[in-house]
Amino acid sequence: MTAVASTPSGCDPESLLNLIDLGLVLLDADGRLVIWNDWMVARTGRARGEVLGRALDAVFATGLDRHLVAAIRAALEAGRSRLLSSSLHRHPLPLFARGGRAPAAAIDQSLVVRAIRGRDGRRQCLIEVADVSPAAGRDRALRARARTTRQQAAHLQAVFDSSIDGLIQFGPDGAIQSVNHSVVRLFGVPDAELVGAPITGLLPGVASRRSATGADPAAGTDPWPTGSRRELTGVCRDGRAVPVEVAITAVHDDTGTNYCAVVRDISERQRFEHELRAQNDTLRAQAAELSKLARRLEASVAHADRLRRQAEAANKSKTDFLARMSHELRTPLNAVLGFSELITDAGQSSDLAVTGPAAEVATARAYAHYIHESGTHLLSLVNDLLDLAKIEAGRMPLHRERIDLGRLATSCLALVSPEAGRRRLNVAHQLPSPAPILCGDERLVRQMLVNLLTNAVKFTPSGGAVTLSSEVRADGALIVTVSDTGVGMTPEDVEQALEHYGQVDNLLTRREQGTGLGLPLVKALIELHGGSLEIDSAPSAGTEVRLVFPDGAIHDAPALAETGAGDR
Amino acid sequence: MAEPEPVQLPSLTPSLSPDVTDAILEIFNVGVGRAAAVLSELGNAEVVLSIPYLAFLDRDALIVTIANGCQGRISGIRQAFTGGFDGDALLIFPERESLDLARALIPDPDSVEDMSEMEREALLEVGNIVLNACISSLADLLHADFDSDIPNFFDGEPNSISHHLLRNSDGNLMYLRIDFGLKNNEMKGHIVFVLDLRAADAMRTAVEAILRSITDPSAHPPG
Repeated sequence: MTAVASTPSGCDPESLLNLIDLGLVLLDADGRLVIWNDWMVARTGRARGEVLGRALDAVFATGLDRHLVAAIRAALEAGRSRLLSSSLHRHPLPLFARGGRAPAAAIDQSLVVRAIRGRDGRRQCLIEVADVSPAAGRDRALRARARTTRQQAAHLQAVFDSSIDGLIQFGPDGAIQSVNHSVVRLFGVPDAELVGAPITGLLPGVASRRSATGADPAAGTDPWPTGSRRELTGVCRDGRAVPVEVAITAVHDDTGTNYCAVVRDISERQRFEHELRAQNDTLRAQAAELSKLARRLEASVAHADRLRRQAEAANKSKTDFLARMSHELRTPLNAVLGFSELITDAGQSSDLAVTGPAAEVATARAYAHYIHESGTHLLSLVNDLLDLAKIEAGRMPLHRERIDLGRLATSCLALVSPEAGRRRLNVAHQLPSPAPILCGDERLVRQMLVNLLTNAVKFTPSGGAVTLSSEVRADGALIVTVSDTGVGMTPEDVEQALEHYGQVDNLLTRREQGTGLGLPLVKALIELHGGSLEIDSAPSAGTEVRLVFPDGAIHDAPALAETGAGDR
Repeated sequence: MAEPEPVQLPSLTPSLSPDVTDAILEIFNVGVGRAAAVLSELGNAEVVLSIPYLAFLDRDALIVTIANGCQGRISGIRQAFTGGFDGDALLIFPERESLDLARALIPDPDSVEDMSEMEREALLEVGNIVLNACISSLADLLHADFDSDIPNFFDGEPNSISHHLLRNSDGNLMYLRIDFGLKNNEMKGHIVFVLDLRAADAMRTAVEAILRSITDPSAHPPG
């Protein structure tokens, strides 16, 4: 068994072994266990009686760390003592801390495998086991924290290095501690030259507390103006000045307070701002120019408006004048017409006698006939003019009444038939039976139809046809149409014909007398009735003129029956 | 350098021929190779060991040699051995490089300047493995049986090793320089055997046997 003897003090050495806070295992020269103290019993759960006399690897079925096996062999065979450190071998022996209800935790251990000589001079192996779990745990935690710190530092360093803004770390005295690549690039100074140099060398105004707003950014005790961003001028190595924006932050840690300046090159931004200001000025000048033009335009518009009002007033005066002239113009014409007729008819049906030689009398009568014809034409011209003027002046009264279109058409056709006969024209109406009843001013509707028929007869060459017809359109409007097979008009001619006093100038016009007021008057009259005038025409393809009386202008058939009208 | 005492190895130091040196180094290489195999299993980084230099120096020359090889402070591991002869084996590193070695062995090394307890313990084990291997090789060389003690750690200025060399007040020391090839940097360790007088005698005998074996191939080789 063991080579332990009683101590001089009489204390039992065995009990001393059990007091030590170390695991103690002694193997004899044959590798059999001879000491297994209480510490080992507690942490392996193996009682002494269970293990003594057996080999260590026979005690632990799970197998021993092979470095421990090798160390034991080297101790027993070659006398080598060996350490097994916890950092390189965490659990060479399967030991567990048993306490409370917590699950058994594997013990981090530090082993000393010592070769010693027994009394017989043979080598034995003493194994001392120390529980280093707390220290090892602390060490691992520290390493983990150090790893995290390293990663964070690496991350921050990467951010620091790659920042587009220049970053300068400096101490309270202004001595630069480190700079990033952007600072080196911006100022053109290698970082080795910058470290230790004063920051005021790069940024002469950096210590000044005056900010762009004029306020004191930090009235506190900080030796550097921290907080607000300021625009300063940086000085490059080649003496070039560069506009920068600078913000200083205080960094407090265990070692005291240091500072970090963020430096941003704003030369690009300033250039841009200058350009923007220049463009702004240009725009403002252009705007002023434009507003001047606008004022001038306004003045012109006002002037034009004044002129228009004057023209309108003048036109109104003219219309009023013409309307009032109605009586004054007709009265002398009546005398001319009356007396010329008397002269023409003298000696036939009137009491007036024209005496003298027969030839002279005949000549006088012929002259009187010309005067009467011209007077009649002048009267119709005056009438048309006065009618137009009245309509324009809004003084033309509209007396709506029931009109038998068949009777009216027959009467109008009779008026133009002598002339049509002379020209050998076929003039007829194609109205349905019974003919429609129309609501309107009969005198004015008659005037429209006579004007249109007269025009048609006038502009249709010999052998042609003039037709008056009517229809009811799907929308309920009554259409009265006068068509001819005459010379026709181009669209431009139509437009001109509708203008007052704008009669189309063509060969026939020169031959035919016309006031040029026919179509414009018809147009004005149909519009007075709330309707419209439509013209379809093409040169040499005849002309079709339609008077459109809107819905409500037609009386129904029973009304027609009551009137008993509709003779043809 | 002081005139060597007759009892030391006067003829060895100056006249150690390359052949003798190679023969002794071969013996140590076998042991150190075993140590390297153990280390490569243990640590985080692969450690390659080689012995490029062997010399027998006196105390002053040894201190100068170590001081030249270690700029600044040193760290060391001392392991005593007893048996056929008594002596000390020392493994000395520049302090900075010993930290590198410890950190190469342990995952997630601490970044602080000082060596942690765990790192120191790991370094002590590495030194223990290397010195045990060298002591075993010395035992083979000298045909002796040694028991080695548990190693202990020391550090300080290069001069401070002088009091670790007290066993050899007469000034004969065997010096081995051992190279630790680490992943990122090579480092040099210095191994010193402090031998007593009997060991010096045995060394002379061993060297003579080596010389004989070299000149007369029929003779038994040492070890």
